[in-house]
Formats: sequence, structure tokens, C-alpha cells
Amino acid sequence: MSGALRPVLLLCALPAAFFVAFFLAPMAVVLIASLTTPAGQPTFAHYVRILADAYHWDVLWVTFRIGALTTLVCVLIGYPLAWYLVRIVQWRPWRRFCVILLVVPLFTSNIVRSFGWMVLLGRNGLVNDGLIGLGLIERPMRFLGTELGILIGLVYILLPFIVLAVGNALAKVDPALEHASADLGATPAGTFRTIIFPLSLSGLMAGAVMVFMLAVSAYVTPALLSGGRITVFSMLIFQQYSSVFDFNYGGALSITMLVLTLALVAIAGRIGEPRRA
Amino acid sequence: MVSVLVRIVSFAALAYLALPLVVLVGASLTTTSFLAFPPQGVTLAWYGKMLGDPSYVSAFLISTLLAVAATIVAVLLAVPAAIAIARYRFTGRGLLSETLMSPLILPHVVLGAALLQCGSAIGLVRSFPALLVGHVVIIMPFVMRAVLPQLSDEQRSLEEASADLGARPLTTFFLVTLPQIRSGLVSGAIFAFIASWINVELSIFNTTAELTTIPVKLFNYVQYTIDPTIAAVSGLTIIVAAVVIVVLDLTIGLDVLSEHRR
Amino acid sequence: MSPILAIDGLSKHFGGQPALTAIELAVEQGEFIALLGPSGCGKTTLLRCIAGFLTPEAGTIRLAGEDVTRLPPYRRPLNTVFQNYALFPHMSVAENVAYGPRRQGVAKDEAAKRAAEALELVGLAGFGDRLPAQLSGGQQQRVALARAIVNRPQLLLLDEPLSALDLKLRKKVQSELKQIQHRLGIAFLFVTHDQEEAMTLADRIVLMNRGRIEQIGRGQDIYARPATRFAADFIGDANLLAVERRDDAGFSLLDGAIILPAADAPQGELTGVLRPEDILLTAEPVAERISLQGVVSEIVNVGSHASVALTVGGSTLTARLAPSALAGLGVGQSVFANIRLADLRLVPGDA
Repeated sequence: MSGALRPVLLLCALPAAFFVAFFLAPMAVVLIASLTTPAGQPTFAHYVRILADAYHWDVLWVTFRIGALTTLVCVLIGYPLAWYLVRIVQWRPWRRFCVILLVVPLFTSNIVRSFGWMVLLGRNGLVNDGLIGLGLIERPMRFLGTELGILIGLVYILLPFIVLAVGNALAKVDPALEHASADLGATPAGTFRTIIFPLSLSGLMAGAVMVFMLAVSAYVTPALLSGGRITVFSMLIFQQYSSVFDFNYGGALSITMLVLTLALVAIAGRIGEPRRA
Repeated sequence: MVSVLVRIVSFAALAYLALPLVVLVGASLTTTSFLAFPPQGVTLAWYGKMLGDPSYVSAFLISTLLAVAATIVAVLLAVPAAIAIARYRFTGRGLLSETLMSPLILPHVVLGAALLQCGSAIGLVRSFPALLVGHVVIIMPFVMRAVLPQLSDEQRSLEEASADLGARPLTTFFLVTLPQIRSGLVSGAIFAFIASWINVELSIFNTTAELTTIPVKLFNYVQYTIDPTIAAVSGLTIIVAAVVIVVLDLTIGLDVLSEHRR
Repeated sequence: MSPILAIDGLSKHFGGQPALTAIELAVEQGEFIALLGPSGCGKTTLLRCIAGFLTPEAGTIRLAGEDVTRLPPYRRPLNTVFQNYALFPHMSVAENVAYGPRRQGVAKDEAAKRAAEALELVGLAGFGDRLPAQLSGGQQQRVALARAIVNRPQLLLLDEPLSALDLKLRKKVQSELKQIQHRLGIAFLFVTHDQEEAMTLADRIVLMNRGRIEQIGRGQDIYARPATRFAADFIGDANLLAVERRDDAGFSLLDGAIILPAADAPQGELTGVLRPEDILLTAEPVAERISLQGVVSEIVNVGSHASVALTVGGSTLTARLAPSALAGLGVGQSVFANIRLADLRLVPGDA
């Protein structure tokens, strides 16, 4: 042990120091700030202010509702798409193209992608034109500034995560297990229900947790697509740091969001945890 | 029947994925002075206008410089840490690896706020170094995640063979370890570069009117006006992303969803 | 009694390459059949066609008289023990074994009961709550077997089920497998590339090569009377001697050292097959045998027997003898190899 300590120290000293200085220390500063007055006295006042204010509860509710809906829609669209890409597509160039199509948005800034939806969802945007053209609606619908608009934008941004996570899990399912299942008398639907779906569940949960985390903490997409009409939690944090300059209260908001998301993710992880040895 | 339904959902989802990108690139070519899709006529005038605007050019330069610098620093920090985590058993090893990976799940707004608050105490705010340290923190996990799986046990026996044949540790690293983890390092570095290049949530706390990255500049601009120049800037970033991905696909392969059969 | 499995004119191609050609095979109830051959000979392809994972281009497969050639796997009244067991990693041992009955619509309690019985049969009573990953390789193999027999199939397919086990364990499982097959009385079709395993287990061996069946028969019959050069070479050790046809319709072997009279021999290229134990080594020629003088070039003593390689003219002959018979034999020594013409078989195939 002591003999191996020297190389470990040599290798880890710099990265560890960097993370202490620019990651752990800042987070600690936020935590401390959230528990002190501007004068440095310890206090719970900031948290009490958050918990006592109905407005904060509304914002939290909106944020988590949008996050949950985003996750749900991503799962409902992402699972079939992953299945399609892994199991149905036979022609490799097409799958290659699809994977590129899936990754290009990931490599493009949230702002660009959300801007695309601002254009599309506008009053005279392509979506309204299309819906009117199809005779589904008579006059333009309002998307921008509604939860539906934010949902469309967030699902768009987060869909690739779930498709890649589920697709990876599906590709890893050993075909011999499916053969064994068929051999034992299970129909294709039975094999899906009892073998493939349970084995892809860990990938699905990992993807869903990722999507939920990113959806509730998203700032750019809701900020652009809300048109100032809807407030989500990350906007509150940003306001405190960029215009109100109340770092103590902002810190309490940051810690609240962090704790709530991590707690929900931990619960989700517990539910989705596969049985292990 | 189920398979038909899956196909319908999939085609719709693929169209949904392509739509905004196509619309932005398309709208950037319009000859009108407002955003129009389908574009009316085809012109590169908006791209010309963008390149003629020094503030856009400087934002592009800053974004690129920042992403390159952050990627280099992240690689230099992440590779030694990954080697220590993969090759040695030591107290705090689990804690170290979890800490280094945790920026992946931490809300960037929270981290950006924390860095601003902490940085203001030591004067590290609204400057290139302030942007750089934040970007390094959030992109290091991408490098770690790509490199760690490649430091496998089979690979360790190669390193032992090298040591057995008389190579000193650094020689072994450059002649044996590095060539083996090259593909992971390249893909990790590309993902890291992109994560830095597209970041808004973290950068936005530390940018100023002069020192701004392309995504932050776009973000601030889009909230006030929308014109085809924005579409041209967006179009350019989409094209950069597409080129990077095609290069990535051709070099290390992105066919991550192939079935492992046969 | 009609055969439980009847295969007629079966052919299968992979991308234009023939994988199986004109396979004919009948398996009787309760038989233990080994599909034996080198890798790539088509034995696994044949098994997968029978199980329903591959559809042949031509021919029929009948199970208990019913044509199942185009039936999906889940409609075929047979089960398979897979090569790497293919145990469902997310289910307990009991759930794995109860999987088959459950898919047949058997109620949960009844399925659990049948699973417990099957596990008891393979000697794993009390292991039901474990996960496959918590078991040793030998135990996993038994779970795979229990899972495959719980539905009482009329035919059990086994795809190299013992290949992942070490030698000692393999011997033990072989005898258990034989006992279980005997007790259940269902036909086993067993794929292996190990001729000793096939000889040990099977009532009959189906010897395959390049997508064709070379020979079907009891192990000892194939050994004693190989139908082809491949059969002679694959089952046991053999001296394979080039055969030349003489003008008088007789045959010449070992550059004329052995002359066989004209006989009914197959057309085309022939090979002379001589088993090593049929060669008697002596210091002097022996009467009523053909005696060939040779020089000892190598002696290998493996304890239970010894192999002696001789240079006879330009060829090498290998003789097998008891280690006790090695006394006084040394490399470079001149000896006589005595053979009986009755032990020499001419089979089709190029030596």
C-alpha cells in the first residue's frame, strides 16, 4: 500500500487539487452562503423564505411537472426509436445516418436548438402552417410561452440521451437469451415482456434519470421558449446571481434544487435497480 | 402491426430531430430580411454579414480558443487521474472517481453560480481564466468516461510486459499505454471539446460584452431580435457539428447501436 | 414405431455458401445421438434448423410425424440446452426453470412445483432462490438442463453443453447426463466436436463434415469400419496410406510393400486405413502376417499406452502397444511391423 502511494500521489495530486479549488470549494461556498446572513451570521432564514413562499412552490411544481412530462415523452418516443434503430434497421448506411442525425443535435448548442423551435413554433411558423394546412386547427395555436412549447423544446434536446442509453442496452442483450426464450415456448411478445424489456430496463432508467436531471435543471430552453411567461427554478437562481446579487438567497435556491433533484434521482435509481448478486 | 407502429413513431421522431436543424440552415439562406422557411431565394449574404461583424468573429475565436484550451487542460488532468483509478487500489479511490465524474449530473446553473460566487472572493471572475476553469471542470468527466474503460486488465499485462523488457514508467506510458487508449482519448477529447463549445449555462455567469462565447452571444441576442444573421450563426455551428460527427464516424466509428450478433 | 425426429433432404445456404447439403437423419424415441464433427462442419447449423432458429432452403423436418420445418421455435415440442447456457440473468434459478411451463400457460404454483422437481432431478434442490451469476459453471450447466427438460420435450437438443467445463467436471457431468437421459427416456441430440465425448455418451454417432453426413453408426462400428477417409481419421487414430491401382486391378500400398488382390473397392481415390493397435512390433518377421522392416524414429509413452513411430521406406507408420512391450525398444533400432491384410481397409478419399 505505502509502496503504491507515491505514483498515486504523482498522478492524482494535480487533478484532485484542481477539483478541490474549482469544484468542491465553490460548492462549499454556496452551501455556507445559503446558511449565513450577508454579515456572516448562521441562519436558516433563506430556506425558510423558500419554503414559506407559495410562489416558490408554484415554480418548483411547474419545474418538476415539466421535467416529469419531458421524461415520460422521451421514454415513450425514445424506446420505440431505439428499438427501431437496433432491431429493425437492417441497412447499415441508413442506421449510420440515423445515428448521426441523433448525435448532431447533441453536438449543437441548446441555444441553437431552442432557437430553431422558436422559429418553428412561432405564430407564423412551420408548425402552425402545417397544422392549419392539414386542417387540424383553424387559427394559429400559441406554443411560445406555454408549457407545451417548453416541453417540445426539452424533449427535442433530451431525446438523444434516452435513445442512446436504451439502444446500448438493447444491443447488449445476448441473442442466445431470446433463442432460449423462444425455445421454451415464449412468443415474440412474451420474450419481449419477460426477457428483453427487463434487461433493457437499467439502460432505460439510466437514460430517464439523465433526462429528468437535465430537464429540471435546464435554463436556456425554458428561458427562450417561455417568452417570459413561465418561470422555472433555474431562472430563479440565475436572477439572484445576475441581477439581484443576493448570493446567500441564491445559494439556498441552488442547494434546494440540487437536493431535490438528487433525492428524486436516488429514489428512481432505487426503483430501477436491477437485482444483483 | 406493432412493428408498423414502431416504424411510424421512429420516422416521426427522426423527422422531429432533423426539423429545427434543417429549418435553421434553410432560413439562413433566405434573401428576405426576415426569417423565412422555406427560404425565398438562396444567398450566402447573411453568412457574409456575420463574418463582417467583428463581434461575431471574436466570439467564434473566443469559443474556439476556450474549447481548445479547456480540452487540453482536461486531458492533461484526466488521463493521470484515470490511470491512478484504473491501476492502483488506494484509500479514497472511489471518492476521487465519483467526484471527478459528478459534474456530469450537477446542474450547470448551480456550478456556474458557485464559481462566480467563489471566484469573486479571489478575483477570478469575468475573465478567460475564470471561464477556463469552469469549462475544465464540466468537460473532464467526458475524457474520464472515454479513457477509463480502455485501461483494461488485458492492457495492464502489456504494460507489465513493457516493464519486464526494461522500459521505465514514462517510456511504457508513451510507447504502450497511450497507443492503446488513443481511440478513447480522441473520442473523449472530441466530446469534451463540444461540451465546452456549446456551453451556455456555465459561461453566461462569467462573460462580458467583450469577452463572450458564441452560444452566450446568441442567447443574449435571440432574446431581443431575430434576424437571418442569427440563423447564419446557428447554421454555421450546425455545420461544424455535422462535420465533426462525420469525421468522428469515419475515424472511430459511431455505430454504437449495432447489434452484437454474428 | 415412427422416429421421433425425421429429417429429409435438408439443405441450407449462407450467402450462397452451402452449410448443409442433403441431410437425411432419423432419430428413434429414447435414443442418445451425437452430432460429431470439426468446427464449421454444419452440426450447429443442423441443430439450429431443428430448433427453429434457422429455416432451411430445402427439405423437411418432422417431429413425431408432424412437419415442423416452417414452425417458429416456440411452437416446436422440443427444447435446447444452449452452449453458454443462456440463463436469464435477471431471474432466479427457480424462475429460469419455471419459465417454460409458465409460457405454456401452466399456473404459477404448478410451474414452481415442476421447476423444483426438475431442479431436484439435476441435483440442485434448494438452489432455486439464487441468481445464475451466483452459481459455478457446472451448476449453471445443470440449471440449463433442468430448464430444458422441465417441459418434458420429446426431443432435447444440446449444443456443446459441456465445452465450458474443465476436463474433470466434464467427465462427471457426462455420466450424470447419461443417467438423466436414461431416466427420462427422451431422445437427446447432442452436438460435440469431441470424439471421445461422442463415443462415451452416444448410442449412435452422426459424423459430419463440410455440411454433409459422412457416416452414421455406433461409435465402435465407425471405428472398426469407417466409411470414408474422413471418418477413419476423425474417429480414433489411424495410419492413412496412399493407395495406387495396379494394372491387374489390384492395389499397391507403401510403394509396393503391400499388394492387395483385386477386390470390390469404390471408384476414385482410395486410402488404406490401418489402426495403430493392429500393428505388431517384433524383432523378427512373424509368420502369416505381412512383415515390413522399419526404423524406430520416435517413442511416446503416455502411461496407459505407448506410440511408436517407424520409418518404413519413405513413409511413417505409428504402432500402439502396451508400455510393458517397450522393453528393449529404442530410437534408431530396426524392427519389423507385422500386419494382417484383414485389418487393412480401403476407403474412399485421398490420403
